[in-house]
Amino acid sequence: MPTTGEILLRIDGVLKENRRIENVYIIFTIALFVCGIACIVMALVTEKFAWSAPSVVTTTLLYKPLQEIKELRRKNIALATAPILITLLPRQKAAEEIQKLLQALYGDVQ
Amino acid sequence: MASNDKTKDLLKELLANLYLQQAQGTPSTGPSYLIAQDKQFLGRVTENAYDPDSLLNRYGPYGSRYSQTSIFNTYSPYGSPYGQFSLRNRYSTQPPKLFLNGRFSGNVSENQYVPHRIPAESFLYALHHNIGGLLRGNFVESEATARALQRESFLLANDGTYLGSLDTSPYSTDSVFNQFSPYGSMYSPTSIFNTYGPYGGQFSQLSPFNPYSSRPPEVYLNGKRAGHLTVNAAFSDRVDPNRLREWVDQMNR
Repeated sequence: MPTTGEILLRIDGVLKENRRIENVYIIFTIALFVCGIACIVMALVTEKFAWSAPSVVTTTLLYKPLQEIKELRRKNIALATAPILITLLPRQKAAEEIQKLLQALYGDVQ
Repeated sequence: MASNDKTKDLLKELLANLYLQQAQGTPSTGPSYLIAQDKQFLGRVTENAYDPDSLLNRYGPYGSRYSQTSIFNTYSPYGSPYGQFSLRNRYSTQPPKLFLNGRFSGNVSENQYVPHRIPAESFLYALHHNIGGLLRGNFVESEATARALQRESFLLANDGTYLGSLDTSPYSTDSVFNQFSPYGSMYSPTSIFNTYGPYGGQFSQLSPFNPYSSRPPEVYLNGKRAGHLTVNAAFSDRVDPNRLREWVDQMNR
């Protein structure tokens, strides 16, 4: 059975990795956004409005990374909450709350 | 069991540890309970779903799908189709024992050769739908009846043997359409696709591929009997086993 210290260490590790993934997504989102803006500026400067078409695509592509960032933040909250639940609540109640967290994050699947 | 999602894996592990600690601290069994053959207590059979030791408590160590001591966890030794002490393992000779009101009632198992067997499906059906009856020792008579009552789609041999579900997912562990499951494999004795098994081939009386068979398997769709699965044209309600997948897709549309 892992000790509290080991659990906290592992949670920190997963949080760190989640943060790294989140940063990648943020960079990707910024890159897409800048591309879209650049296209619109190009359209205005050159007065060729065909240049504004790619920004539609980049805006659509923004959906996925934003969704992932939102999901990662929800997971981080769950991870940060778990040790508090374990230390503050009785075992039975803590288990119930963590199971509810899992179900809220991933649905009722195993 | 491990996925690519480390958050999920970690939370599941934490949860499993919590349930394990709870299970180790269980003081008494109560009059009606399930116990594994390695002496692991598997939960009380009680109408009170809030009892922490109840099999019906979804957040307890014996009712949660995340607990290693739960028969509902398909990855635990007591609920997995491969677990040595599991009621879901069709080949296990050491299934859990059910005690009702202090008396041994039977071995809950999917293995039809286990003595004093209570079909796992019948037990689970009674547990969820008729616990009062279960506590009085009343079970649904057969596994097929329990499955039909739960509106499952499946094949049933004429001798009462369950021949697999009609779940079209290729990953379903008991589907006839999964070539690696005990009901879809060419080498399994309980598969209709095993040419040399009792339920397959052109010569067995119980096979759907025997053109002269008078006892072919029956098909149940969403709990209702839909006909006979056979190539024998003499059956007016026949479903062609060679076009079973198309038939299921058509009926599910």
